[in-house]
Amino acid sequence: MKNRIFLIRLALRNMMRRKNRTFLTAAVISAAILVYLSLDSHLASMDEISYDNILNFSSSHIQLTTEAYWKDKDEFPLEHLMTPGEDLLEAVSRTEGFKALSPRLDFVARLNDGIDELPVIARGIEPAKEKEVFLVEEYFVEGGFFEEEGIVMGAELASLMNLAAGDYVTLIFRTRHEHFNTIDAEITGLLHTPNPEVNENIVYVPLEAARRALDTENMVSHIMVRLSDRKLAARAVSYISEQLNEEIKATPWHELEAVAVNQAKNAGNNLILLIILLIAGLGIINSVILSALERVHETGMMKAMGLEEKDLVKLFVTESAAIAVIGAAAGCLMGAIAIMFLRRYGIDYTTFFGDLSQYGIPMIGPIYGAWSPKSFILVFVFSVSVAVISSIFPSRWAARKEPVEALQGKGH
Amino acid sequence: MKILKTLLLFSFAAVFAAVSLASMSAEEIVRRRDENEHLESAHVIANMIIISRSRETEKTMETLISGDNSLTEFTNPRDRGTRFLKRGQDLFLFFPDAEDIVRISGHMLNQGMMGSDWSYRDIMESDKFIDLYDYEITGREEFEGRECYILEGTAKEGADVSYYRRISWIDSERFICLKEELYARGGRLLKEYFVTETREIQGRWYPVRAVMENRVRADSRTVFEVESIDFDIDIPEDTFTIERLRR
Repeated sequence: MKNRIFLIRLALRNMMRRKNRTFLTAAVISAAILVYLSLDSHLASMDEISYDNILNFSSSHIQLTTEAYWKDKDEFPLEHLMTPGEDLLEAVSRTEGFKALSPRLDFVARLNDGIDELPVIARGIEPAKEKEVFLVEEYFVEGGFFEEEGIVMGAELASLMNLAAGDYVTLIFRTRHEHFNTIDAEITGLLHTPNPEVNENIVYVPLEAARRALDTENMVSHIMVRLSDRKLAARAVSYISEQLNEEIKATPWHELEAVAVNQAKNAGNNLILLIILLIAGLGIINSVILSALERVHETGMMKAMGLEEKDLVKLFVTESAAIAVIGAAAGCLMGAIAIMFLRRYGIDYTTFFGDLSQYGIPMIGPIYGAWSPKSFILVFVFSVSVAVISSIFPSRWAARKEPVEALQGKGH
Repeated sequence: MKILKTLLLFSFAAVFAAVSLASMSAEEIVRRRDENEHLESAHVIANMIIISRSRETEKTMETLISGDNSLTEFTNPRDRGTRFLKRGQDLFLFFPDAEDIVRISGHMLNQGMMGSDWSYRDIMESDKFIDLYDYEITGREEFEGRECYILEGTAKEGADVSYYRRISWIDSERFICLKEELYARGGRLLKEYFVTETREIQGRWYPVRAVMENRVRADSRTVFEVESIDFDIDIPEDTFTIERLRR
């Protein structure tokens, strides 16, 4: 015990004696941790925003469609719609965490302003129900939802076609029986949501008008369900599936392609973080080895004064661990400050790169930071462990040197 | 006496013909139109002038038609070698530069063929009108100096047609459509088709110059001119294959 206290005191004294080395090694560790934590927080925030954008504006927590519709969903097959019966809606509303549902009728159309045409996805909705499931309503930059007639679209799509609220446009599409049909209506509102897909591709029309024009009676393509917490989706889906007939499929948000793409991106991000950790690890190993090499002379002296090999190793390891703890603590502190800064001000990438959606990043506006205590613990434990483990081998090497040899400086 | 008899017979015949013409049913008129305009098999050389606002694009093409199948090759310098193969309800496009075959399906079929006012779907409808629409005569009118029947066609139940309703002006003597209005299901006029030149070829009247005007987009129309057409020809069976499309 006495010996251990002696070694700790000696280690601390050594650290103080060689302030520069201590500071540099700790700085390497803290810089690595700072970079890791800031990036991790930033990526986590991006991730959260992407999920929110998918869930709050386009896909919700659970979607109900027919099995056949889901298979061909990219084609928007009007021949595979469903008629939501009272029993179905009731079964859905009994689900744990159920908050609201909104029927939808999606179809492909061409948006025509009398001169030009653009392909769009037209979405028949009931505004009162849509508002309960999605956050679209909070993002009107002009006007608002229609009542019985009208069209709502993204301000970006409108500006592309030089349209404004109050203008009349035509949607041209095929009915369920493959005949051409049109909806002529006034633009009642323009949106600018954080979801680029909604801003650029979606045109909202009243559900009843869409049904009439498509000859689909009282059918819908989707029923979008919102829960109080997205974590409840898997359980809710298994409950709903038990109540449904075989033709209807309930799909939770985490099975959506957009989410899968996001997860793939996350895997990429994790790889980047791993590389940063490896680089940080190498930096730490480098500093520790160099400091051991520098101190061969010193080890010879201590050995000559009667310190045993294992004591020397313990001394070195204790020093490394202490430096690593100081560095890691400083890194975590700086990381926390950086994250606070990110959370407060964020970084608006659009200032540097323009619209991020063109790079496939579905978000608009500044990106902030997210707290992740897990990352703090992980990076702290990792740095200290790397420092401790990497100090064992060079210190053993240095400690094994004969005192005379070491004192003569033949260790190099 | 014999002359008188002959004269009488002729007058009867003339009166009978006039009466029968006047009382022709919509179905008969459309059948006569189909006899003229429906192509069982043909070899067509044509050009297409696409006019969109002040821009004019001309494309020339050669087409082989046999029943439900057709193969079109563009011959103008810009599109030379671009081919369309229609096999039943499938449409394939071959681009020589990319040496690639693309299947045109789903919503792409609603777009204008090579930027024209004829959609891919329009050119795919190769059935006889009589099989696709229920017609009724709504009047008679002179159009461009020709006496015409006005026929209103409504899509038959289950018929796979783009336009739910079409109103056609059919020459009452030559049984060829001179003007047609194509309507959306909801009643909006989408396109108007005018025949500006007809010719009697191999015993049948055929439109050799026609204009399709888009009524939803301002200043958008396409002129289609037939340079030559041969009806009822023998076409080798292997013409309408992917292999031939690539060649």
